[in-house]
Amino acid sequence: MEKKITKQDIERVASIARLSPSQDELEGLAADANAILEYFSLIDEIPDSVEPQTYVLSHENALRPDEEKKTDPKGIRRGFNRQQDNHMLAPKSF
Amino acid sequence: MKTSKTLSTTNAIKSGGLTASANLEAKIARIEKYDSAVKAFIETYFDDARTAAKQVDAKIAAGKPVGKLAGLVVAVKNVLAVKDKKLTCASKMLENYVAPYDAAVIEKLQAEDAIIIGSLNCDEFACGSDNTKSAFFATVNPVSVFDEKGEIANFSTSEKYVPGGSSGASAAAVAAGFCDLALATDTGGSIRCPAAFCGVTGFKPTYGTVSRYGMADMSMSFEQIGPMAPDAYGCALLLSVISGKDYRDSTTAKTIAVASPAPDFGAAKNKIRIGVPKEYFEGANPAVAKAVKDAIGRFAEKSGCELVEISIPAVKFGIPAYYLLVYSEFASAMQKYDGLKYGAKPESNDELVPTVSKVRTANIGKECKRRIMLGTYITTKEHKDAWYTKALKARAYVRQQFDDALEKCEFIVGPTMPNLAWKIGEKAADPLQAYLEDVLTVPANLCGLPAGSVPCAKIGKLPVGLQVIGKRGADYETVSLMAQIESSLNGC
Repeated sequence: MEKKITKQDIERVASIARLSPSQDELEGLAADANAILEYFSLIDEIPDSVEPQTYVLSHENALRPDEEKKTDPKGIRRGFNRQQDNHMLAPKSF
Repeated sequence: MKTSKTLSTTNAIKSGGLTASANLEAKIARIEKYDSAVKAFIETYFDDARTAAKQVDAKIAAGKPVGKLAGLVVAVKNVLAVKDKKLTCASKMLENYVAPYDAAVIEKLQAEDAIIIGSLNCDEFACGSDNTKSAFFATVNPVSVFDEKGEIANFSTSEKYVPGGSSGASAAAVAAGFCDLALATDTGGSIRCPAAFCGVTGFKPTYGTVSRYGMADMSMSFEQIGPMAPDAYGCALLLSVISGKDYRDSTTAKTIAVASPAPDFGAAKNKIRIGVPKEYFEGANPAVAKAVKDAIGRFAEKSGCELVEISIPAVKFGIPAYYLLVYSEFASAMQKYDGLKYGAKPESNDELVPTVSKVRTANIGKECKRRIMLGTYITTKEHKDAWYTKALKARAYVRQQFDDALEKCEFIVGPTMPNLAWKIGEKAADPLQAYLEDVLTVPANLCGLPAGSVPCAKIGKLPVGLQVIGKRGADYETVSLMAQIESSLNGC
């Protein structure tokens, strides 16, 4: 295993993941992460020569018939938490 | 094949001996009487179900052709979209979200005249092995509720066992007689584990067999939708309906639908070679290992199948490879839950990042947060090679050993779970211990292999599951072997 994961590491990761755990939660998450990754370092035994595999299937494009598909946007808009004139409203980003 | 409960029900409905409405009302009566103890349903659709059942009865009365699932009552895990019904994923994040369309599997159920009765609880976003991680309530294993006849509820028991997970309520609903069949999903054992713990039959198809369109995904390269039923025939029948090509899910591009169970489904075949990996028994509870070994021995003796002891040392890499990749894929899949387009409503709308962080923190549960954080950590530039890439190599390594083993035999059998169902609340403190329970189920997901669980024994009142793993694409043959095993064990 690499160096121990600190509370600061978790804080940084939480920020990237758009989460804001409390100080107590950060301690717990760091402890859990260290215990879990310590066990998972078992995979260091895998020979480096093995080629990584992302998928069990060979990739192939799935093509649909070239026909117009009508969708009802009302159902989608129903989920928006804030909307105006059929558009989703989001908080300002800068 | 032993007498199939599913086959008997479907024959009775199609022949007019039982109306779809009467079948449905019997299920509704059980739900109303007992679901307060089992806690399987998030939402019931009784009115819609009654309308659908009447339509099936009218078709049958008029002598019109009906679908393969005519009048069978099906309940669905609440990660599958049913139009105009809540799609919660058992999370506060989606507590009030209403699906705007039907999942591909729901369209297929309706086309075959199934009666959809409601949505079922699960671990939040399918992250868990015991249903205690639902944001709403913990489903109870029916073995804690019913007596041997399945009629007398014990509401006061202090010994409440988990139904397994993440599709615990799908298995519990089948075991409790709340539905004829259930739909569930399996990412690392989420169909097979609850099937084993609740004493029902469940099947995870080969990766790419069933369209995942309309499923809220947890981990895209592992997950499959699959059937749960009282018996292997029910699994085969439901699988034949939900499988097949769907242009909306590219993983099904080459898929041919699995055939309906033929008259010789579950019939004995001579000289099948069945591999029994020693690693599947080494870490298991000795009583579970013995029960499964005994069942395999009884089956081999009756069927004439050849048992071959095999070794798959890479089984030990399954848990780290699986969880590291699931963390990564889950962290990515969860990015869309930001409280803007849909989901929980932010309390404030000040600026984008703090608003999104607040709504995610308040509405995503502990285990999901842990997976998101670990997935984000191991896919950052500085840690990717040490964890993510290494896990992809481990996946290839495990797959190679399973493929090699399946060159020496047609099927692999062993226990579904290393232990019996535990009591609600146990294993809550240590996430790693909970993950280790998946050691025997995750390899099939890492390798994309079809795998199912059939009940093979009981220890006390707790059921034991026997797992059957087949070759990629041999879904029909795998469920057929499960039916053969069921028959030989005479209704465990």
